[in-house]
Amino acid sequence: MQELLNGVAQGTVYALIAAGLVLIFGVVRVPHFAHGESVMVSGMMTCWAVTSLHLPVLLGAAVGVAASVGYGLFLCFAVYWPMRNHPEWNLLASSLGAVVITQTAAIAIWTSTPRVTPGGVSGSFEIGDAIIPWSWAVLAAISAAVIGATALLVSRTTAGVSMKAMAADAETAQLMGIPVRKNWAIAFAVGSALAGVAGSVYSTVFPVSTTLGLDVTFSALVVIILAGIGSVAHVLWGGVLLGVVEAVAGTVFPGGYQDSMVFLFMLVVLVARPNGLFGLERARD
Amino acid sequence: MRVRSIAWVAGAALAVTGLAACGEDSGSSDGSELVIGEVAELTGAAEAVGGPQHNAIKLAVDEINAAGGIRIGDKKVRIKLRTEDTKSDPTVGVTAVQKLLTKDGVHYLVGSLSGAVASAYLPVIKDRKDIIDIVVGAANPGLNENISVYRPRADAFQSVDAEVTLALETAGELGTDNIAVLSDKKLQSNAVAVPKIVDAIKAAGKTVVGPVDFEMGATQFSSQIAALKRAGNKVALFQGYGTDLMTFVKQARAQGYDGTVVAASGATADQVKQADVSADALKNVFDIGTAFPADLVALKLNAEAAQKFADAYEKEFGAPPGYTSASAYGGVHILAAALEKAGTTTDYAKVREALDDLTVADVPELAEKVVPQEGDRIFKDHQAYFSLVLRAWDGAAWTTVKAIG
Repeated sequence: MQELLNGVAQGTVYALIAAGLVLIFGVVRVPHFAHGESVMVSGMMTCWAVTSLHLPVLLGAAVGVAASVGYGLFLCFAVYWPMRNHPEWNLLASSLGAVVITQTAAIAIWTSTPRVTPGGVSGSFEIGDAIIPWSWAVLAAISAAVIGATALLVSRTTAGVSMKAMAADAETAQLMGIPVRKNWAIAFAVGSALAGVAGSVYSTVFPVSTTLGLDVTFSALVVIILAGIGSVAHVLWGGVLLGVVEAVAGTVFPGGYQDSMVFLFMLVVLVARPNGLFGLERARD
Repeated sequence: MRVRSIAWVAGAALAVTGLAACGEDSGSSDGSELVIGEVAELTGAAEAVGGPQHNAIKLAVDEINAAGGIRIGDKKVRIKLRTEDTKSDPTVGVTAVQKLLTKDGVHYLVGSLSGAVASAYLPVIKDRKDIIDIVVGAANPGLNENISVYRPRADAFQSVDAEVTLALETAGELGTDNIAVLSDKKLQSNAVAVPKIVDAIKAAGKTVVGPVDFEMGATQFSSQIAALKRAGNKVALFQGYGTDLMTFVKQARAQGYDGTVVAASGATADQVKQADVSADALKNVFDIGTAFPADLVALKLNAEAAQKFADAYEKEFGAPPGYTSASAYGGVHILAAALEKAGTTTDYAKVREALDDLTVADVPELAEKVVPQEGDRIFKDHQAYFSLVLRAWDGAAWTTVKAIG
């Protein structure tokens, strides 16, 4: 029970990060490996704002999210947009380059010492024989709520419908008069904001460091593979599934095999269900 | 737009490159300088300890140079420190050492915090009779069994007995039969220290929970905590760095694990603050290790030299020394004293002889409490031994409970 609930809490954060990546990749078709850096930037900025500027946690989180959005938009228009007609390899290489540059700069600014944003929720509650920290419950609730709101944004607003149209067929969408540049901006802003929320809330519960970006990106990619690309809502289940698999693997197998088991599970899903557990057709609905 | 974009990217890249370049130490050695290579963990997982270790090395070098340098015969030789950051990565560490040996032509190395890095580069230097490596951080037992390596720093075995004794005593007081062993699987010294710990616990008639592995820099200890709770564990030995100990303790207390934790992590007040761990969570957490200067002052052991070093360090860097800082500071002074005693910088056999014969009294700058070996020597088989201390958190700082050994 404890492991299951641990996995659910961790999984919702993975899902929130993956939701941002799905949004960006779905609309823009950019392999945005620097998405995890948005999480890192937000977490570090939140911690810095709270500990150095002495802002309350909520304001600190706002600073973190703003920084994350700014970072995403910067990469969008300084790196990816000018290369939009280049081969995907160029974009892939650029996004990996952005990871290295961002991490180097972050280490120079903040060092690589892990830190936790003070002022998070304290205390725990019990479910059966499991003890769940309130901070985890808050983390999971915020993640689920933000994913839900984003799913609504995508399905119920004009901007969301435009993004879905671009995800389905960018060329046709452009011919139909959908503003591509504006939708790139919206996708990067919203996707990076999701990463920002994840980073800032995560930093109040778990330690964040300047080197966490790539790990986070890989976790998000696994979630997307499990859930199937294309749907923001389905990543929630993909995230929870990853969290639970991770927690159970960590309990059943010795520490050294935890990551291997997660990737083994992912490979099994890829072979058995190449479009993810929820299938591409459903995911694009 | 395109040109502007390129300008943005180029600007950002230049800014980062510029920042990196600021840290580089330019210049080269001439006849009056001795180039010493520093293998440093300035970034990466071991940075929190590696930074203060580097500071202490720099402080010792600056002091020696301020006094005119190392006296070799009738002339003084200034030290030129060449620092290479291993990024706490063994592969990078090997490249760093190769660069120091070939490009910079160094014959003397100081530093090395990460045991994994030290083990990785050891094959490069172990048969080199013209290399002397003063290891001031890495704790892997056996590292000193190489002709080129001297270690003025406690190895992992030196704290193992004290850790196990405290854990057994606590388990006896609590009437519990099992002791958990949490082990950082990336920490090279654990490969030999953990089996020794497990054997000692079993020999005392207790059962062992684990070893429960974790990875340096872990953000989540839920699986490990669940394993301890399932076993009804009340006493855990934690074999890892201070940053990880803080993360573990915070999460363990939040998830209802209230057992006693015995560690040899060198945790600092700054690490407690960075991890936002409450004083309540740190109740029944004990850290055993080589004494910090503040411990020595409190225990009145080599207090004057310890205080002098701590004051100089704080004045220079605006923070108290880190876990391995005093060893690093002492290591540079030990090397300088050996070179002076040998009267040469190029006869490496003679310098090794001087290191072997060096006594505690030969190095008044030592800011730690070295346990003298036969003939008051610092080293026995290239390894120095130290008084250890038991520390506990008092709500504002790690305070000395007692000296061990």
